[in-house]
Amino acid sequence: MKRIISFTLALLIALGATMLVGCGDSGDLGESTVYKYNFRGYDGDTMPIGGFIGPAPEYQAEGYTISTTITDSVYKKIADCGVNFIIDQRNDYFETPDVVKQMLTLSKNHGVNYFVKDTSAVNFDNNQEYVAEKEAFKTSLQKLYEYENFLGLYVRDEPTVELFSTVKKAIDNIKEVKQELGYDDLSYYVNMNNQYGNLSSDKTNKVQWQSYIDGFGNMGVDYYMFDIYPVAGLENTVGAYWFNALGQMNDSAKSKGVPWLGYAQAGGSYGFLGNRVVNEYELCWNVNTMLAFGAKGIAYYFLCMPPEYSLSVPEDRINEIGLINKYGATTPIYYYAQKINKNIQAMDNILMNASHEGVIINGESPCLYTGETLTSFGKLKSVSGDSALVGCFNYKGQTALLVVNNSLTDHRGEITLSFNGKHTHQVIQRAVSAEITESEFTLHLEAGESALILVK
Amino acid sequence: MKFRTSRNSIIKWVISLVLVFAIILPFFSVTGVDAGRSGGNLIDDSMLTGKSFGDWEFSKTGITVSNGSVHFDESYSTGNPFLSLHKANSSAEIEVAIHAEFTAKITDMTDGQRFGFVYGIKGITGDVGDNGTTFIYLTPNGDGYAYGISTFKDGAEQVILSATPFTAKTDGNKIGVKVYSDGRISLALDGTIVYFLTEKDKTIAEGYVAFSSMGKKNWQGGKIDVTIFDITVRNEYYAKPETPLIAVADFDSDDFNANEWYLKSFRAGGDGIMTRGGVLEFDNAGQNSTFSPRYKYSNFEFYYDIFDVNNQVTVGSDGIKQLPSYWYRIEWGAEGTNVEGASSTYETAKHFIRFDADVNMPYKKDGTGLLDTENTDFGKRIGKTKMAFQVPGYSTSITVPEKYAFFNADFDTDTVVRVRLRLIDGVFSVAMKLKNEVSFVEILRYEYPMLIQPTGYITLRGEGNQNVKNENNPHGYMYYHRGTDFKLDNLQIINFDSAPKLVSVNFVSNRLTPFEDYDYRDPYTDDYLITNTGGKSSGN
Repeated sequence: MKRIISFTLALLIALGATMLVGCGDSGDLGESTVYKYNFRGYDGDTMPIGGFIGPAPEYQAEGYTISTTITDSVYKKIADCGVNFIIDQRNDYFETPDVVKQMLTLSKNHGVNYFVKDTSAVNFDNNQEYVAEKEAFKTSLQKLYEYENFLGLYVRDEPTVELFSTVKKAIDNIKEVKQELGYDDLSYYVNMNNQYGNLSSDKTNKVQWQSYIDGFGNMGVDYYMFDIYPVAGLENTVGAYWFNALGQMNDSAKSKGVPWLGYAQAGGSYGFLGNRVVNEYELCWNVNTMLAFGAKGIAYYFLCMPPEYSLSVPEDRINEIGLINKYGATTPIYYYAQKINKNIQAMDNILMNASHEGVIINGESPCLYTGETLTSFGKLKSVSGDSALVGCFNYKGQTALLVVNNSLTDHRGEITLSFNGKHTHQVIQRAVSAEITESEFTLHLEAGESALILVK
Repeated sequence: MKFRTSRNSIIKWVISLVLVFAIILPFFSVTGVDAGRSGGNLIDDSMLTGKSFGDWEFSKTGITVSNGSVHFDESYSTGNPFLSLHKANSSAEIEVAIHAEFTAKITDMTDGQRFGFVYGIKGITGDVGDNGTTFIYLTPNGDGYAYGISTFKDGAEQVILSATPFTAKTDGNKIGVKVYSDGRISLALDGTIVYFLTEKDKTIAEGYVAFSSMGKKNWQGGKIDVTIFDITVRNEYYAKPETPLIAVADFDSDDFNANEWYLKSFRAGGDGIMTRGGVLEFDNAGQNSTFSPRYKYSNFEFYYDIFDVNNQVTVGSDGIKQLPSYWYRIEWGAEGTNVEGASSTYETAKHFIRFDADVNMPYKKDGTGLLDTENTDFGKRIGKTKMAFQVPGYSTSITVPEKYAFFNADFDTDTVVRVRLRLIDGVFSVAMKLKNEVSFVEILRYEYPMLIQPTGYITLRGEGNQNVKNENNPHGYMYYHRGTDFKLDNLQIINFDSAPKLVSVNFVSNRLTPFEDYDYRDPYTDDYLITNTGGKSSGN
């Protein structure tokens, strides 16, 4: 009897210890909440990768004719770059319906989607504040919805706080019409300004950015989007505000329960940010740090060189503005973006289904971060080695890490990840997926480059 | 007397005749020696009335301007010229560059003071006595007055005509001055020429003109009390802007020479101005869309074909009515530092013709004042093709003959009308013909006053919807589309200046050569991927 009791007791103790070990050291992150877009045609696993300003119809600049770039070959280039949607601020369905129809038709053949402007429904051009009654929205959306790659109406970019009520009216009309017509997958484009932009039309009104973000959210938006461009000054220097801005955006979006997108700095030259043109490492870092801070989508500013820039940009600088120049030819920035996007496409089914839980910053950083940071996460015990920013994600209970070489000049950054045991890891780097089973390993990353680690 | 001519004599006679004509003929151009003057009045009564004297530079101390007269009173002091802001030019083709006439009534002038007309001032801050100026003056002379002429060079005064007494009239003396383009001067007093400078290049005609004075300052006791009136100062010169001899745009390759022509396009429901199908297509082009020669012209002929004009109401693919073509106009003598500037604003052109025909624009009968765009007759052409003509001081409107009336509702769209504008020797005309006709029919002829014509840019400008916010459509457009909607072809402009100044222009297509895709070389390598490193650091 004594032996039975002793054995049972030992068994119970052993079982209890096992359970304790399993719960305390397994790294099981449990369930998480992931905020998704409702973008037409997106399956929830594909990250939206967009571009601001699309191809243009033929136009004149200083008496010279620039041929149309609304062509099959240009949309193929855009698609080959990995861009899957365009925010078209320039062409108006009301003014030039045939142009817009051609845009939608040709882009569809290459899987590129569009936010389209129709000033018969909503018009903020030339200081106007026009939002039509619901019937006009209905007419507009019914016509445009016929195009499968129509994502929604372009409503407003960077509204001031004074415009929030008008923008909200447009959003409300769109939502009502959507419901009425059964267009559940239709969205709209709105984008917020950054803390250094014109948050109010009244220069004496000092609006705090958080207050602006909250006001933006109160318009009932389905996602957040914002633009701020950190690459400025000398080469390989960036704005000190960048990580704080990303952190604030991510926290705000999470508290609102919406995903967020950020603009990547693909334009430059000619008065834009003091003529600053990104190099490949800077753009890479720009995008990857946004992803590490929880962005669920990006858009390049610019995608195509805007027509009005033709009047002021000399020919030898047209490759510095956007991914596609005014002739529809690729620029160097196109190829930087293509590599970045290819990596995103290899990672996005994980990132789009993972909740962002925090960041780890190791070593020096090109910019400050005054928010909370982690030192470990899930099965990750520590990060050591060269400068690194690690985005920590809960992917269906599993530890997922987006490791970024947080340097713009260290071209072979070595970042060592140490785990709480020997695990099998899926490593996705430069769109190449590999597996490694170790308790510790070192990543080699180019300046600004990232790799995704999923701890299985 | 018998005359015997030998064969040799006949040959010599013929050769002499040929030589005579070879010498004489170059002096007679097809267009005449007095071709196409430019210029105008530097000073006249219209600039001396009202309250604003924007044509002048002067300090009001001692100078009062009213009703065409200028009074230099006792508080007036030397060093305060009454200067016209219109600069005089001169050219060898026009003999007399400046005609100045005025009546001077002298009330008082202290000894040593001189008052009069000065020309050749370099800048608007200049005055008599500056290098290059010439002064035709009146001055006290004993108990009476005298007139004289001096010119100033390198800081020294050169007397051209020493003080010559005359009788000052109580109601003023009429002074007439002619300044020749070669620097000679003639001076007339009360209708009689009293002096003529025959030596050339003694004075310089070009520059600003003024009424001014020399002598002691007012506070030094120098007094001038003079009133001038019935003032006219006119400048004439032969402008010869440099241009290609003939510039042609036939659009056969869907392009044109961007070194000779300038295009700017806006949209009003269509594609704007496009070179396509071998023509210049105004496809509902918007307001201020223009097609212009890049050079300024003085004497010229300008041609174009116009056809396929939209005179009907259609409904676009967006369901919005597209109205018949808006008017277009052709301007000449437009000012600006370049063609881009000249064509960018509506107001720089004061000389133009405009083609138009009315359309029906009924209003709703509900008293709202809104256009009845749903009316079945809304936008239909109801008027005949008219051509308005406007130049400073004159305007008129004519009905274009039916045969050429391309804006008429029933005009055949395949019919090509060729239009010619001509401005030569101060005479402007518009003529038309059908493409298959031989001769042009003149529909307008206008002679500029004194044959003084403008020099400047020529612009063909379209009109289109304006982004006007109104009750009809609060979001900024009229609830229909309307722009300039027709095709042009075979544009041609010819320089008709006498002995023109020509430039040779290379062909550069308006369609810029596109860039090739960037040749990117990937700096990244694969050696550092984890598949190759095995997750080891480089120190291992």
